[in-house]
Amino acid sequence: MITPASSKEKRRAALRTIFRYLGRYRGRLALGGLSLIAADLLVLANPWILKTVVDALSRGVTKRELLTYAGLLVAITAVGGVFRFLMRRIMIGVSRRIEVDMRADFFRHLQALSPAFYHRHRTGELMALATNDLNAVRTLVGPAVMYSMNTVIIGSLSITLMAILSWKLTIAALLPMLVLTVAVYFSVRLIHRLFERVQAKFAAINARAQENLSGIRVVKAYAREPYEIEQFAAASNEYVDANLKLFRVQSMLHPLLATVAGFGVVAILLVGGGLVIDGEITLGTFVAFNGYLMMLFWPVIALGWVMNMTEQGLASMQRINDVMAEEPEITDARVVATTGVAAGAEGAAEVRPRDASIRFEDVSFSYGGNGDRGDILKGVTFEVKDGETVAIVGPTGSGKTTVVSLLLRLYDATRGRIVVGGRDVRDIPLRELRGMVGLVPQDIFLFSESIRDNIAFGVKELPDPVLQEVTRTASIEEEVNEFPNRFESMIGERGINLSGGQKQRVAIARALAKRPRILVLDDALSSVDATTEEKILGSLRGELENRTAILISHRISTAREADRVVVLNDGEVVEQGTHDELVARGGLYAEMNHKQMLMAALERG
Amino acid sequence: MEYIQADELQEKPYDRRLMSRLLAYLKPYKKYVGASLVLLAVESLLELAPPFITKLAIDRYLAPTGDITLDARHAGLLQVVAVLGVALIAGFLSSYAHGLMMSVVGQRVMFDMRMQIFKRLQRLDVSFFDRNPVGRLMTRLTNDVETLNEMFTAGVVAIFLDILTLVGIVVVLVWLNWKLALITFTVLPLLYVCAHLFRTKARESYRNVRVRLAALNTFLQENVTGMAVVQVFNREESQFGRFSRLNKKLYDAHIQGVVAHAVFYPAVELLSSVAIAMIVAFGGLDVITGAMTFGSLVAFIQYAQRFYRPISDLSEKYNILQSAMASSERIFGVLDREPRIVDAAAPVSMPGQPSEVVFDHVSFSYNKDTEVLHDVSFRVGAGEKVAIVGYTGAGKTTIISLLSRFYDVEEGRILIDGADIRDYRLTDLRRHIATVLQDVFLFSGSVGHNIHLGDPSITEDRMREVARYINAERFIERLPNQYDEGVGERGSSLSVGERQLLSFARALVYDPKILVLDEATSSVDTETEFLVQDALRKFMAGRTSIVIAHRLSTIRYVDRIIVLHKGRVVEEGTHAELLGQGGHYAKLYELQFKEQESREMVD
Repeated sequence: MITPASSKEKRRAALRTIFRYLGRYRGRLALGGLSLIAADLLVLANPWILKTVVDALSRGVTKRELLTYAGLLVAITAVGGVFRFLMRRIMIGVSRRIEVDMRADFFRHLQALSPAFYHRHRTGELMALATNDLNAVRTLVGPAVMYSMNTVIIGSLSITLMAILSWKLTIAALLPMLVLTVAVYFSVRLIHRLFERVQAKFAAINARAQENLSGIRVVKAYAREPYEIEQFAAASNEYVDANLKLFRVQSMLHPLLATVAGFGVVAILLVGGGLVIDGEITLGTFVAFNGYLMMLFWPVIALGWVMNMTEQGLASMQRINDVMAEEPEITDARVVATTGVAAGAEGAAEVRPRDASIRFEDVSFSYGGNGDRGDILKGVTFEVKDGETVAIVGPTGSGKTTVVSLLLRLYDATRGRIVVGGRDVRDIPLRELRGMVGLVPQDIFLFSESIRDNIAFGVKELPDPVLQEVTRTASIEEEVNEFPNRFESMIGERGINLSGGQKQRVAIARALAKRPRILVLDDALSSVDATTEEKILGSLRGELENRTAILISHRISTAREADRVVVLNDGEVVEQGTHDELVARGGLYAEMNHKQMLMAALERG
Repeated sequence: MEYIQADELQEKPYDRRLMSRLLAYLKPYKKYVGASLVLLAVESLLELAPPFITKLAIDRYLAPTGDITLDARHAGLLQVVAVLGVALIAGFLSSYAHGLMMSVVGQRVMFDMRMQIFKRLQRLDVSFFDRNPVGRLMTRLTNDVETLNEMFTAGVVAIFLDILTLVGIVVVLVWLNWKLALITFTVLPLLYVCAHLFRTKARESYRNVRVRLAALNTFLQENVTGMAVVQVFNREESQFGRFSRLNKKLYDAHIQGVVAHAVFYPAVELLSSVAIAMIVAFGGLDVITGAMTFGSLVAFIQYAQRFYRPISDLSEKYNILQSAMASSERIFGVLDREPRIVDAAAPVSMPGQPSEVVFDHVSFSYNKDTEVLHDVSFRVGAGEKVAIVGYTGAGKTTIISLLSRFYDVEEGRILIDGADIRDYRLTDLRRHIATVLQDVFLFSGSVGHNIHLGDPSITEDRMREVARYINAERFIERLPNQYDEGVGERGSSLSVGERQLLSFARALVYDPKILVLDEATSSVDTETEFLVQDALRKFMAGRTSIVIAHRLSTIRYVDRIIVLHKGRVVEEGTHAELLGQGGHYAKLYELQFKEQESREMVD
């Protein structure tokens, strides 16, 4: 799918993105770089001092001189330490800032993307980008940048100093170091590959266990436990094997590094010792050499590591960029283009709908793309007058929820138009449009926060009297007051688990708290029993009187509350009228009505 | 999931009882562990070698005090270098071997532990799974076990290495020059304090990072999942504000760690330079006076530079230990749970004939508050076909669960051929009864696998024979790979009707004596519907059958109908009898089945 040219282009784009973020902190980074250079220069002085000491010792030296050298060693390390601190604090600190920036930009972008995007991308996938990939990029802009700079500076300077001391010895000492870089580069790569295999096997175990536990009833019903254990053992064994392959390389790496470094010492001892014996270099030089070699050790290892981190960081940056390149489908573009009102505006007079009336004009809709099941809505036309309550009823899959999604511009209609208060919804700023509507969605989604915060979700602040009022209307007040922390009780795994009906009523309170001009209840009472439904409908009556409302339901009891009923079937409006009219007509609605009366009779027993 | 939940982050102080239980897992591998410990001692000795060998080289051959020829010096140097080379290679080998051995042990222990948990889970009752979400159990099997792995491979054994190395250095220094050694050791307490402070700070930061990262990720995940709600309620700005605050808090925690590291490394360098400066000053004087050799001085400096690693490692290992304690406690929590539904002490054997099923005054509730079945009694004779009908919440599904002993009755008893089902062996009971649930659960794997479920006693021929008999072969043979065709996640690639046929085949291969079926409500196309109905009839023939019926054709076909309402048997009789009574069944019939009548006529 991806041609080599475009993959190169993507890589370049990833680099550009990284430089853009780094560029924001160029002042700090320059400071960090200077600190790094200063720290490195100072640290390089230490072996030289040792050399001077050792040479002085063989000549004969005063106590005072010795103390001066000792003091110098400490002083230089102390000053160097300050720069070393600044280097790390600034450079790693900047990478953390970039991480914060990138995460915020990513989230901001996600917020702008439409439901269609979330249809295509699973939550887990997006989470992986925000966690693993972001982390890889952070490693690239922080430690990888810092260590590569450090390697270049320490490396070039200490090699220069070593060459000044003795070029022969330099060559002898550096050979094992070169081996080290190459060894690190390839083993880190190999480890990364083996690690991915381990991860795949781990995922396999996970999948097996997940499936087994989800289907535990079937497993038990067919007494298949022994077989499942056998299968799980097989998957576990493969995981163990993959791990051991990884460890075969990984447990070699550390001892290998230590040994190769040890051979650097061997080389110095062999060649350098010989040179000392022949009088070509002093014992001090020999000691200093050892010091410089030790100093090279870590930067050389870092080099191999940095190369890998850079590759992984760039790959991750590309993945993040792919999502960042997604254009939001539902925007204020048309408003901006036709009226010049700024995007995201709210309350601008020239774009505000005249009232809260709603009109669907010959609206058709299909999701499009793969797995398209054809038109969900086919030329739907109906009207809800300002202040009127209209029920939309119909069997499952008739397109009721789609009507709501289109009204709120979660999707745009494929054909036809939707008019709110005299304006095409695409000509109303999103904030304005959505601000008008209080929605109780079919799939209730509440956040793992307190009940109060959930109810206050759509408003800036929620005074207690309002909270009481809306929760009373939604018939949830009493139950919430029975919770230990009442309205401050947390919802979700770490708090209380609400029943389906309780969730629906919290969501009703949430929608009412917005004081919306249009109230939309999408099958909002499906999980409450008949008595509670009646109670809620009774208390909602007042709320419905002074606002426009759409009640979506497959229950006739709800539809009865409406001024008018629109019956949808298979994406088309098949009947329209008042409850009584429709019952008299003897069509789909009348049939539903009859059945539900039977159901009610059964429930009463 | 890559990110962790905040409540999985607990740590626990060292607990001897838990530790001894954990160490018991090492028992089968004690040879490996013993060998590793020996290698470890060798390794730490060899780690001490290079500075000492350097000292020898300097004193004997590079700056000799005695009379020695140039050639002898060169030859001697060569010898010393050879010894060093051998020591390095030996060190490499022992270190690698010990690392490898411990990872083998770690992996084996993890395997044992994981299997133990999994086996325990297979034995636990369905009610346990009602209370414990799959995600939580998955964490036991994966993350918690991994944490213990870290302890076994990186923790326990490495502590010995660190202590041995530290002791070794101290001994060598004292032996070389005890006065200078004592002076050098004065930095050790400082080094320890420094490491301790760092450990405390770094841990605090690390813990903050994990907790705040978990909070941020939970927030992010929730907002991604509920993005439509956020957008509909115009909450993008304020949610972004909250996100930014979480983001900032995470940043602060990270910076705390950055500062700790940034202070710590230079501090250690400073301390080690103080040690070196003291060695230079005092040791230098000794060299001048001849109380100490050049070589010893150099060795001293090199040893002093090796002090830090074991000290800092020791504190890191403690953290690993703490997380391991918390994980092991959670794991043992699962392992210590005993299943309540188990085989009888002296189980009776199952008869080989079609069986009679009797519910004898059975009452049951999932939780103590609401009883789902009240005093339910009915009898299904051997080979009889009975339908159970009722409105939602009548308790139909519970009857199935009780019969297979997914739960045990609270009052009354269930008899099969006169014996209480609790007196049979669980395996016998469940193989004797074929349970076909409404929501057909398919395992990932091939179509064939979903029929035989991995039972080797079911031959290929048997599987095909059953599939043919039950009308499943037609669609299976249309699949590209037939019986080897893979079934997607939760069987999404097969239609509802096909899945039903598959589940019939799965139940029938065992040739069960009792069929318990929860008929699917969702309608399928006419042709498949016909196949399913035909298959069902074949299946019921000659078997005691209890069907939770949703199909008109089924209630017409069975011998008798039991009407369940709110956990009680309210009516019983044939279709015609019940319809004639004009009671509960009559209403139900009109609601659930009558429509099918008109459809039937159209077809």
